[in-house]
Amino acid sequence: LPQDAEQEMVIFSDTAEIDRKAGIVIYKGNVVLTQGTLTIESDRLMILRNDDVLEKAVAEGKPAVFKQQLSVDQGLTTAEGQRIDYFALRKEIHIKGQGRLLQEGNEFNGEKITYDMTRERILATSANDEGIASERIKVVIQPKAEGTSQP
Amino acid sequence: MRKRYVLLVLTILVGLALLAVDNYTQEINTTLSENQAAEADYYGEGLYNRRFNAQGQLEQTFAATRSTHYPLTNSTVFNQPRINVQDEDGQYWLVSAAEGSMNDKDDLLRLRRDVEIRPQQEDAPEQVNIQTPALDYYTRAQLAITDQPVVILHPSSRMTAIGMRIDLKKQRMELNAKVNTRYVPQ
Repeated sequence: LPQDAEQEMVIFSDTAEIDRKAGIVIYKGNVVLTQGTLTIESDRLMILRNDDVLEKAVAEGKPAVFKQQLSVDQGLTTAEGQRIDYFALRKEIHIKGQGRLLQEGNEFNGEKITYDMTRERILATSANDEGIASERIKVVIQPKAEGTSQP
Repeated sequence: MRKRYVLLVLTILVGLALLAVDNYTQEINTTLSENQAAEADYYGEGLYNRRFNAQGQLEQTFAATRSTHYPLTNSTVFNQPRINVQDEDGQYWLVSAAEGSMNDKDDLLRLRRDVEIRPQQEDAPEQVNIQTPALDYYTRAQLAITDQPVVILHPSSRMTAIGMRIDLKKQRMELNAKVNTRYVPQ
């Protein structure tokens, strides 16, 4: 939800490494981050904060899982992948490595998925960073129930 | 014959008595010398020590309200030890505790009770405060290590963990287990 950013952020993990000068904290082992409706679960989580505001979070796992309710009238949006980059200020997530995005019953699969939450725009590609395509992207759109207007 | 027999018994008794007295006095001596060796051989008030790096810059100061040296263990106990150490950016950090102890030939200072690490300047840009009940501080390497619970307080966050290793020079820290972090929006 929009007010998630104003909530307290709580992170549990087995261990952590702090580089105070760089302002970076790396959490490792059973990492769970919660902030309002936002939840990130991963094996490793790097947090970059600037002036006490979360700027970026990079989660890695098998898979790393990102969940958030983006607006009051929507259910949870769930993203999974070997790596998820969450750009908190830009409200954008980049999913890499067997990426999967689920929202309102719709499902997007691809090696790389970029989701702009503000403009609700999803870009999925089957090629990874080295340009090697693996599986083709797969999109499953749930038909709207009868009588509901098309977006 | 009876007289000689009585005389013999008497001498044995006296001999035993003398042995007992000798044993008793030896015990006292050894407890006395043990006590004496366990006693301090010097006391210091208002200790203040400075260490400079190869470039002649002040790298670290060490102060204590009182120091007591024990010859038996070749170690010194400090009251209210306070170490000021400089990180790579030139910022000074204060490491303090209720009590500390150090072996003569060591650079390991064992800090106990109310151990705290924080910026020396009250108006330092980032007011981090690290608290733990016990900390081993390696004065030469400027490394601090503990296996005890740790609390890290910051104006906008609070971290707790079990066990920590902190490189004061590089300002890098590792938390060993059960890390719980709470960021509170400002």
